[in-house]
Amino acid sequence: MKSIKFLILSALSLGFVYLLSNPLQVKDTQLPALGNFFNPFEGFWSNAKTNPISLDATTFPVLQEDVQVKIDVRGVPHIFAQNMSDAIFAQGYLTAQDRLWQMEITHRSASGRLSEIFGKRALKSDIQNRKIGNEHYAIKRNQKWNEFAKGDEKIFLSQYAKGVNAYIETLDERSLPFEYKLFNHKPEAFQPLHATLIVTKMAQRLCGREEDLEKTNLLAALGAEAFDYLYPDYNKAQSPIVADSNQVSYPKGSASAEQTVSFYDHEPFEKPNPSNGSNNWAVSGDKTRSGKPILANDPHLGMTLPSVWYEIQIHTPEMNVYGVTLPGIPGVIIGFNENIAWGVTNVSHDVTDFYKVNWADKAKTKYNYLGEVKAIEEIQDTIKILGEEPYIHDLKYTELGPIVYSEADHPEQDLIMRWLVNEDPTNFELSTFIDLCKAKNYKEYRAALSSYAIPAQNFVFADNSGDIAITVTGKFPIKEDGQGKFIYEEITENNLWKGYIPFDSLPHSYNPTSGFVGSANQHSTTPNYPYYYNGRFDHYRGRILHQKLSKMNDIRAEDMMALQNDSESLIAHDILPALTAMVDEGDFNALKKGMLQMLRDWDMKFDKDSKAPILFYSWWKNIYKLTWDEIDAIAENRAVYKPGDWRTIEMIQEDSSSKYFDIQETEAKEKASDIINLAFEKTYQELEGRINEEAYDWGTYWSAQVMHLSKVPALSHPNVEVSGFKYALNAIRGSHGPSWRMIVELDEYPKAYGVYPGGQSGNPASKLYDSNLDAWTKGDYYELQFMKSPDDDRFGSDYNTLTFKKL
Amino acid sequence: MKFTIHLTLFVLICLLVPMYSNWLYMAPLGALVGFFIPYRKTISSFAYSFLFSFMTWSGAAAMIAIPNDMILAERVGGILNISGTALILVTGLVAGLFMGLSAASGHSFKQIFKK
Repeated sequence: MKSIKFLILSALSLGFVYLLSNPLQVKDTQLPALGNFFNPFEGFWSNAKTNPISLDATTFPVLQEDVQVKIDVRGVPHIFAQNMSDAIFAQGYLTAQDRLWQMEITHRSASGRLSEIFGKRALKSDIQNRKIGNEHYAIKRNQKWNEFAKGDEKIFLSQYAKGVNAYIETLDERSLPFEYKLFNHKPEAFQPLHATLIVTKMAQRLCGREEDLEKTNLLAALGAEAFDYLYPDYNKAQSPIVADSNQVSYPKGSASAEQTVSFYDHEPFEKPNPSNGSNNWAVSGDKTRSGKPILANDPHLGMTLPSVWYEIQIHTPEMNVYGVTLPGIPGVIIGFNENIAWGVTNVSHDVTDFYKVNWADKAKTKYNYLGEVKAIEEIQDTIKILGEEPYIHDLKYTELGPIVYSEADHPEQDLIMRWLVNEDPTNFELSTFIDLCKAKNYKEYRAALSSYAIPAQNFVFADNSGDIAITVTGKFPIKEDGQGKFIYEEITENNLWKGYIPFDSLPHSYNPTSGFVGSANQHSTTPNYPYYYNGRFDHYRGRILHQKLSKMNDIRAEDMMALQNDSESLIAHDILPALTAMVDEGDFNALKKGMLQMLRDWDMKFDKDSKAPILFYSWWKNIYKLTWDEIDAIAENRAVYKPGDWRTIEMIQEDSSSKYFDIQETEAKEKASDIINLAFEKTYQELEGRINEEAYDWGTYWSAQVMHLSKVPALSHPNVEVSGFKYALNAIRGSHGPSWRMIVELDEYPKAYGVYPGGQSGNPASKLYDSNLDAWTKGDYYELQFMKSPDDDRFGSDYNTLTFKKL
Repeated sequence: MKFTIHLTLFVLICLLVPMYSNWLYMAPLGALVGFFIPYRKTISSFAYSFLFSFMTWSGAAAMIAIPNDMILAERVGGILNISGTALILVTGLVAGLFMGLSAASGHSFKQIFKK
């Protein structure tokens, strides 16, 4: 009996040892070994000991000189180094100290290696990223960058990687960042290739959007005339970034080659979020109270924790720069130095084309390419999956790019994707950011931009001599009219790109008479611009920005802050008066009348305390849904997309009897006014029980999400009540929105303000994990501590001081 | 006296072993203590071992969580749908069950040889 008791207890004890010391699989989620995780001395608890870092006992052989760092109360490092090499090393180290896991997850996401950590739930995304060939082409890009780099460029990525790795070497079980413990993996050494992959990831977000497959299906289903009617390239109400861009010329070639009218049955790859966008502008001294330019920029990206941006100041004898960068990429991407300021928005041109594979054999090993038979480059690729057998598939590459869609029994469905980002670089493209950090004037700004390639950005500029400018910057393929909208039947000389638009022919504006320049992801130019382009553009923010800046004078930084937080939208101005006029309110009850009156009294601002935006948005959603039932019917069988809101509004205004307003399933022939009334009734039914509830307002309806990269709600802020709308300058939509707001007042020495929805630290135990979120939510800003020297005490003396000592 | 010795040994084991070595080594040491501390019943050996280990790990967790203003405790607790305070108790529970079972195994092994 006693032996049995011992055996039972021993078995229980050993079972418990096993349970606590091994990762647990719960459905498709792997939990860490609970004993390791809860151990107060090495597990997650030790991440709560957030003592300031100390480098007292460390020397760094890689440094040429000591580097002094002041870390301010918001956790922003101010690096004072004697040369660029040492500064970038320190930047790598400090960024890793705050954001190591984020850097690793970002480059793993680009290369398709998330399944190793998150298991099968990340497989779909990994397969997509492998098929697109992100790592395959990033390796080539990295090799080319090494060949082209000169001077400081040579050490730019390698010193940063050394800095990151120097930090990784300090880690032990105890100090491992929290997420490594939660997801039970170890940090990988950081390589320059990883920075290149992070650039690729950013390019994927910003210039990886295309709808070629969907457009081709629409063309096949609707015909060319209907397609052009529903999906025009240009919105005539548009206010382009550069209005007088026809100063350049380009001889038009022959019409674009034949494009396919087949249907394609593939499920398209997941697209980047349509809300990736931004605003930027600069106003000249003629319009400001100080008499000097003011520059503003707010990039709209995923609002994540850890935050997408990392704030930093880098001071060397040849530059003193402050701004934000993406963890994993050295330097400063958006920022200012003592003389200039710059900011970016996304250009949004479509730079991806698809071609049907013209197979030369049944085994799909060769294909026809411009009259020659070429062999496919085929690589067997293995994706490791946590807790599962690996996924093995073949990756196939052609001269133009990877074969991303294929079906074994339907070779006519196989498609090659040509993406600008996969083209060989012709210089070290990141040099733009080194050169901007050092630039002193307009000429040097233009020189810095001339080497920029991907992802194309609108670089706004201002300097303390009074100049302002904007340049649509990047590598843009030269296309004939309409080229690249649809999938090509075959690869011919005629349907390939005809080179790249020369830098001097890119749209740009320098000290315009209006006194301001700006962009908000709208069309780059008017249709007069001789080079053809298409893409997905904003139709509201650019216009309201133009309207508001035109009227503003005596501008102060506070006015620019208010403009960045402006929640007024032209979509409501454009259509709401027409909608309310078309409502037949004959037998309306009191609530319906009240709802209509609320809309008529509305100031068109999507303020969080207001109810009218809920009514407008719900009503518009119902109008849109009722209108596009024809497209929904096509979507049941094939991938397509619906016309834009702006085009729907244009049709209501100009063609209200269009057949598209007819509801397919009714016998009556509806017009726009019928749809509008039906949609109002539907909106009433949806909201009648809620609209008068005191707590039901736009803030609760449209609440933003600031989610941890792993999407774990407990590490996130899933309900942030804010004003704003996707079509307002304060462009908040779900988990996307102003990921960094920056205002720079140029002067002898600039004064700047900034805020982002998160914090400097990636450690969920730190107060600095989300310390800026409240200020961001309220529309407040921090004055950025742009120090002149390590001894600069203009912002007080509350700094943690570190010294990276050379050996 | 035996309670004091048991408490001292367990506090030392539960603090020093995970601090300087692999926490799994707590198990054989716990069993050894269970073998030598003379409780009449195995359940007593389990209960006191559970209590002392629970106190040590939850105490250590609280000593970290309180200066951290419970920030991490609340976040990790949120992952498990419990409060930060409950997370501290769960930390103690892990150690308590682990060491309680180890000590009970040691104690029951000794019982085999007792007449």
